[in-house]
Amino acid sequence: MPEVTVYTTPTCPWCNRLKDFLRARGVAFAEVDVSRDPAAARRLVELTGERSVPVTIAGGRTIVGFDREELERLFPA
Amino acid sequence: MLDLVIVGAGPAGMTAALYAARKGLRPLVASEDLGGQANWSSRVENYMGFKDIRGSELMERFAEQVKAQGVAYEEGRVARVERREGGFGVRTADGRERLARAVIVATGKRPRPLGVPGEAEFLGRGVSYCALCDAPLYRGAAVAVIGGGNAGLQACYDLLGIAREVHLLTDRLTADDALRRRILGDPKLSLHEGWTVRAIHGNGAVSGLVAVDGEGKEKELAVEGIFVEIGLLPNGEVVEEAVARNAAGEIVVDCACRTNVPGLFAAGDVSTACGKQIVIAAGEGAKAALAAADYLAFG
Repeated sequence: MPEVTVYTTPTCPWCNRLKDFLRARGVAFAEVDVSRDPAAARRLVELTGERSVPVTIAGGRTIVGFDREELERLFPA
Repeated sequence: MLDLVIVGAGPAGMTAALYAARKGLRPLVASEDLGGQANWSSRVENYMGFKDIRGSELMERFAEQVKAQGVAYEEGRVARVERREGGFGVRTADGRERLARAVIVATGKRPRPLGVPGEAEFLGRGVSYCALCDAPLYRGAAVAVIGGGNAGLQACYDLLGIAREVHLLTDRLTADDALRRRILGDPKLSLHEGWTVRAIHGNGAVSGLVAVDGEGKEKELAVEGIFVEIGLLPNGEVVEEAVARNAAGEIVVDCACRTNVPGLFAAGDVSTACGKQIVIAAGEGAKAALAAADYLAFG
């Protein structure tokens, strides 16, 4: 299982759905709350060019948003 | 065949589920999420009984109340509701179909896009439909909010504590006075009334927008973020063409949430019910469930 990092904000409904999805599949992940960590927010933009959350980084893959199809491919049930 | 499928689990769908369960029906709720649009509201100050609550928290409370009734829930987007012998087929995006004698459509609305060049290209790279989600990624930036309704001013509120400057562009302000008083006096906010966005530009990420003012003069704004809050489109495509819709695409309902197709009901923002509010959607959901229970009992 690749190392999984999830960039979130606490007020983002899709972030909560993503975390629920990962927990339901038993995927361990590190969460970075970009609202509390401005440096991480800058890093996310620099790394991915994305200015939206959630972003999941796993094994060199970047998944933007709660993209259920992509997530199911990466983390099969 | 099931008695009742409720499509959508926002305030209308969940209230319909609660009422249907309490009427002794065994409804199935099929929805791609719990909470719907209400989840995207950072502050709800007009749902009775709650002075000030986050939309997603209010929806969690709705969901708890529905779950306590033992209502069955299937997560997944519903692609189509079609008439079948003795009822309806409710087909999910993955191709499964459930048959039910009655259906309540409570699929709500989705954000309306601006429809200008650059919008789709820069989605997630400066263009956002969720200030509540993405505002923290615009710390110290200049941003624009498009739309002068309650959602637009709420987006300004979410951004003013984070961004360096917030430009509000709108053809006209329609937001409630309470929100205007809270936001329009903020020194970081510039109001551009009468402006219409024509294009979004950038290179890899948004760098600005082009608009025209009320006199038809072209204007440019250098912004890194553009938050679109210009209203919503009803998710009415889920029902077949035989179901009557108005010019805006909302499903036409009577005072008991009945559509022109017997056994098919619609509730909340997807319907022609007047007033797109959580409290109204909840009430419409209750009405639809009561009408569906009547239909199932007496035809």
